[in-house]
Parts: sequence; C-alpha cells; structure tokens
Amino acid sequence: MIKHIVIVGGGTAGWLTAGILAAELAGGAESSVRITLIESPDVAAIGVGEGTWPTMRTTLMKIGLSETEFIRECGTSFKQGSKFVGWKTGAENDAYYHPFTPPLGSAGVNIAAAWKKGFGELPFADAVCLQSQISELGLAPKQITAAEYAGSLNYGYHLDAGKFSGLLQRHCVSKLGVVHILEHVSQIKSTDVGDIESLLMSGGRKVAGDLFIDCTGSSCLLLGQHMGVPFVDQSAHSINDSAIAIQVPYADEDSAIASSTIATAQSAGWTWDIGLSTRRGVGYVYSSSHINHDDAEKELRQHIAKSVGVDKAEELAARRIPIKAGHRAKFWQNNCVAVGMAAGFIEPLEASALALVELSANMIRDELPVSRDALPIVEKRFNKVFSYRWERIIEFLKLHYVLSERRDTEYWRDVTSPNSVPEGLQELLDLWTYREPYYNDMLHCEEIFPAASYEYVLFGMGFKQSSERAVRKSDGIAGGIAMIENNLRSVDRYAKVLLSNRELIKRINTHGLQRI
Amino acid sequence: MPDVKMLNNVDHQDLRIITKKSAAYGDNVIGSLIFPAEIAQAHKEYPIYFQKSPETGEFQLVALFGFADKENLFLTDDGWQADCIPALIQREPFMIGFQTEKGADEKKAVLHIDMDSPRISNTEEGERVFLENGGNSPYLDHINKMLSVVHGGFESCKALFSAFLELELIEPFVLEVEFKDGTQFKTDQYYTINQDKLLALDDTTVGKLHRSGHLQLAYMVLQSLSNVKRLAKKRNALS
Repeated sequence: MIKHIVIVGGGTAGWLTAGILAAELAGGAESSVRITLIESPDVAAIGVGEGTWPTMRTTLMKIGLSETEFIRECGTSFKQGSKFVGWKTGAENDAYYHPFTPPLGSAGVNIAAAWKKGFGELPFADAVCLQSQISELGLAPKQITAAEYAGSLNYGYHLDAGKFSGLLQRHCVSKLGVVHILEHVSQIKSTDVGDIESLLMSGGRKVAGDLFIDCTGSSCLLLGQHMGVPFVDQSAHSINDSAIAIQVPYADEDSAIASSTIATAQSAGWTWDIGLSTRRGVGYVYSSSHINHDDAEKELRQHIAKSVGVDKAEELAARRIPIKAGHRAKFWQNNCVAVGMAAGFIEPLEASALALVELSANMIRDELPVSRDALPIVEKRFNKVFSYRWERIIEFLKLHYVLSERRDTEYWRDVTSPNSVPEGLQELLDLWTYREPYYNDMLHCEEIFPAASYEYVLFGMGFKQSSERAVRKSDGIAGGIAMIENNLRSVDRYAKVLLSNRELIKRINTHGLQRI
Repeated sequence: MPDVKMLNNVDHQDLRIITKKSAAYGDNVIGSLIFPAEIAQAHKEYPIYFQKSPETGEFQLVALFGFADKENLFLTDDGWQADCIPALIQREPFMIGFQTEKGADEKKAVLHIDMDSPRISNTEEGERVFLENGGNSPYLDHINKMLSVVHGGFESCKALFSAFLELELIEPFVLEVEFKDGTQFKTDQYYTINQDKLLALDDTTVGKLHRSGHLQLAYMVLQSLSNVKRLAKKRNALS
C-alpha cells in the first residue's frame, strides 16, 4: 500500500505539490495517505518563479486557499498574459500580446481567417480578444463584485515566490495535515529493486516512505544524484544560460501595476518585467556566449533606468542565476518522481515553471495507485506525458525566436538560424503556411500550449502565410467578422466597469473578495 | 451639485422640508439599501435581497420597489403607499458628516443637510426642522432616529453577513419575473438565503444564530421573497 508520501524540498514546487496532494488525499480522519515534507534549513529556495498561468486559480481553489488571503499576503497582482516587445523587428512600436483569454470563435468559425480578411491592419490579439486592450489600459481582469477565483476575463497571477511558499506551508501544515520536517537529508537508503526505502536526516532520524517526490531544484538529489537518471541538455534549442534579477520598487503606493508580464527583446536575450503589488521583479535572461555578465547587468540597468531613472537603477541590488536548459531523461523512476526544477528548467519566457509543477502534482494525485505493484505503469504513463510536454514547451518557446526578423546582433542571428529549430516545430510551420493552426494539430487533449497560443505568437510575430489557400465552408468568415466587430465594440463597455489593476488590489486589501 | 451644510438652529431656524414622496423629489427609485434593524418592518412590504456593493464587493441588503430604472411601484399621486419606508429614503435631505473637534482624536458625527435638495421648501409647505424657540422639532427627532438606523446599520450589516457567509447560507439566484404584457424582468445580481442549508444547520449553530437575532432575520428575508408577486401585480395593474 502507498501510505506515506515524502516530499523533499521546501520551495514553491515542494509546497505546491504537498498542497495539491494533501487536499485530495490526506488530512481527514479516514484518509489512508500521510504526507511529509522535508526541507533543508541550509538550502535557500531560488524563488524567481513569479508568474503563473490561469490554472493556478483552480489549483489554489482546490487546495482550499482563500484568494483574498493569497492576494493580501503574497504581493499578488493579476496577470492577463504576456506582452512581447521588440521581438519582431526591434523597432519603436514593435509589440504584441499573448493574452490568457483564447481568441473568439467557435466550431464553424476560423477567426484567424476572418481577421485576415477584414481586419488585417489590426493586431491579431486586439481583433480577436478583449484582453490585450484591457491589459494595455492597465485594467484588472475582474470586478470587486466577482467571487474569489472568478473573473470577467481569464487571468493568472504575478506573485512573490518566497511569500507564496510561506503561505502554502502554513496552509499545508495547519489545515491539510502535512508534516513538516526542517532537516537536511544526509543519506538515502535503497531497497534491492532500487526503490528508495528511507531517508536519513542530519539529526539522525530515519524517514521511511512509499513514494518520494524530488523537489530539490536543480540539484535533483533523489532522482538525479541518487538514482542516476541523466540530465538531457536542451541548450541547442534554448541558448540562454544566465539570468540576472533585480527587484524594482514602485515610485509610490499608487503606481500603476502592469497586468501582463512584459518580455522585451534585448541584444543577447530578453528581459522580464513582472508587476507585483509590492514591487516589480525585473530580470535579464541572456546567452553568456553572446554577452558577458557585466555587460548584461549594464544593459539590464539601462533598461530599468527607462522607468525609474539612471540613479535609482544603479543602486538596486542584482542577483545572478545560472540557467541550465534541459530536463531529466525520465521524471519518474521506481518510487521516485521529480517535480519543479528537479525535473527540468527552461527559460521563463512563457512562465511555464509553476504550471508544470501543477500539472505534475495533478497527475501524481490523479494516478497515484493504491499498491506499489502498479507503480511501473504509472511511471511509464507519467514519463510519456511529461516527455511530450517538455518537447512541446521547447518548441513553443523556440517559436518566439524563429519568426523574428531581427539580425542586429550575433545573438539574433544565432537564435533565428534554421539549424536551431526543432524538427517538429519546423514541420508545423510548414503546415501553417497553408492554413491556420487548429486544435487537432496538438495531439493531446490536455495540451500545455493550445492552438490558440500558437496563433497569438504566429500572427503577433507577423507570420507570413501563403496566399494560396483552400476556400473552406467551415471557415465561416462572415460569422467571424461579426464576432470581431462585436469584440471591438465591447472594449469600451468593459473599460468603463473595470478598475485599474492597482485600484482593485487596494480594494481587495481593504474589503476582501467574497467567496461566492 | 449637492450643497452640503452643517445643520444649526440659527441659519436653519425657519427651514421647512417637504416630506411628501414623489418622483419630483427623486423618490422614483427601483430600490433602496436597508439595514438589519429595518428588516422586521420592511419584509412585510418589499422583496428583500442581498447584493454586492459595486464599490467594495461586500454584501448589502436591498429592498426592491420596481422592475426598471426609476420605477417605484409604491409611488402614487398620493405618495408612497406602504407602511414603512426605508430610513435611507426618509432621512433625505439630511446626512451625517464627521467633524474632528480641536484637541480631540475622535471624529464626531454631526448632522448635515443638502441645501440643493428639491425637498428644501421655499413656501409654508413642509415640516419645520426647528421649533420657534430653536429646539428640535418632532420631525427632526425622527430624522435623527432614521440616521442612527443608517449609521449603526453598516456595522450590524457586517455582522449579519459575516454570520451568514461563515455558515455558507448565501446563494446567488436568478430573479425572473414575467408580466402580463409579455415582457420580462431578469437579473442575476441578487443573492438570498439557501433554505436547505438553513434547515440543515445543527442545533448548536441554530441556537447561536437564534440568540444573535440573525436566525429570525434569515427567515424574514426568506418570507419577503413572496412580495415579488405582489410587486408584479402592481406592475401588471399599470398596463
């Protein structure tokens, strides 16, 4: 029987996994599973995963956290998608949105075809969705009268990763019955068949378990170091190997909070700009073979200076973080599964890190067998699903680069080179020259990036399709055009009732959101 | 533009207020906020719902008078045809303002009046605010009572809803009314008590809810829902 799940690692990945599993399996008097989380007091969490997907709303709701509490305690603000600046040409007004709300449309309407036919001069996202314009106006995706986790538009969050794991920890321990051990793992003991039998703590105590979840970050203590599952390097498709992060304070407590992550292309990579309610998190992800660390920091400070001035930008503390793009060859072996950075890491261009933690923990929760005997089957299924997901993430991130027309630095010449494009992505691009992406292009029903995401990036980047195309009745052009017209009319209506991102958070701090 | 002045028996010695209820004085409203102390009377006349404040998202009590903007079906040529009128409406054109006296930390509630209100009488019509000797008129005493209902109402409202929310007794619903002329009124902005959940409360909880006075209010709110039929009848009688 699988009765005791032991999670090693107390960062966001560990506590989020603990919460997801415990909310479903543990805590009650009748529950058959115990959950223990072991956190080393000597290892600091990386804590730069500050953007989530909309999936986090369902996750937190299931864990039983109040959205009001989460917003008040984690420096949280509302994220409505990503804005990519300077990726196509690097010219002054070069920007496009990848919002969380999918394009309009329904069965029988090819909205991209309608956009091209009637509104080609408008940005794709603006034509087929409200959210890019709402976000550009600095407005929040929901009203103060909306219930917790409900919104007028789809949304995720910007959050302070350190505060977030703290909140999850308190909730897991006090409400969900997770046992927290604050000790260092000094030794790992295996059984004859290679399962992990128990962990020896630095204090001498032994913790035995039936399933071990490795949330130890890039050190990958259990699955990598102990079990020897190799790391698969993906730097050929994702050449950025370094990051520098700087926390930028707001001018005052009324400063506007951007409601999308702003990813701006730079000379040798890109910068993120994440507006929390308490501060901004800004950072530069770059390729150290194209720019040295000092020059990268200088470029980052220049970028920050544009919003806060040179003097302020110079005095803020910077932190360097190495990036090793890639993932484990397998994510699950025997009775050990890796979640979070232990499983792998790729540059945070689409904030996939926390989403992958949620997906991994969800699958462990849903497929957890009662008996050890069934573990090999779950292991196989889990590895298949997550190998596929990593492949898709790598391809989708690469899509952001390959369509760029920038050749202004060695970096942009290298990242756009055809050799660096994964084969699967190249095939899709060839297909999409003659038609728009649609849901069947993606093979799984729970796709990490749906066809809609590809459309936002493709058309945002000005992807050129062939003028030769089949006329299909199912395109429903007239219906699509009517939908777009209606969408454009709706912007003002929404803009009138939605508060700014800042104002909504202030009101939530004062009045809270209702649960219903 | 409201012209709000602090009330005093020098400037306002001869002031008279028109208390007649009419569209001309802005009484043609679809509904009004009410407060827990008013439920006992109001539930006999009006459907009482819960709604979220558009400013704060917090729950409020609202009594419904009509089905369209500016429709108050209780309003006739002879005034407001009901035994009780919400305090927030009766108090007009008076309001409470806050004043910090020199040397004092606490803010003091002081009576104010909107001198731009159409209820300010320019003739002999209306109720005197002050007696000839400068003392409060019975009318002003009544206004003070109404304002204390409003003033204390925000706190008691908070307590009421926090009790209801804690027990998860509140549920949204769709209010749908069809009229004889074939038209329809439909809204999903209201909430009410979930009767099944109320009935399922355990004895200890019921006891607590009873002693706090909230149980009785929950039942009165539920009873008030039948008033929507009477309200629809008034509307049907118009066409």
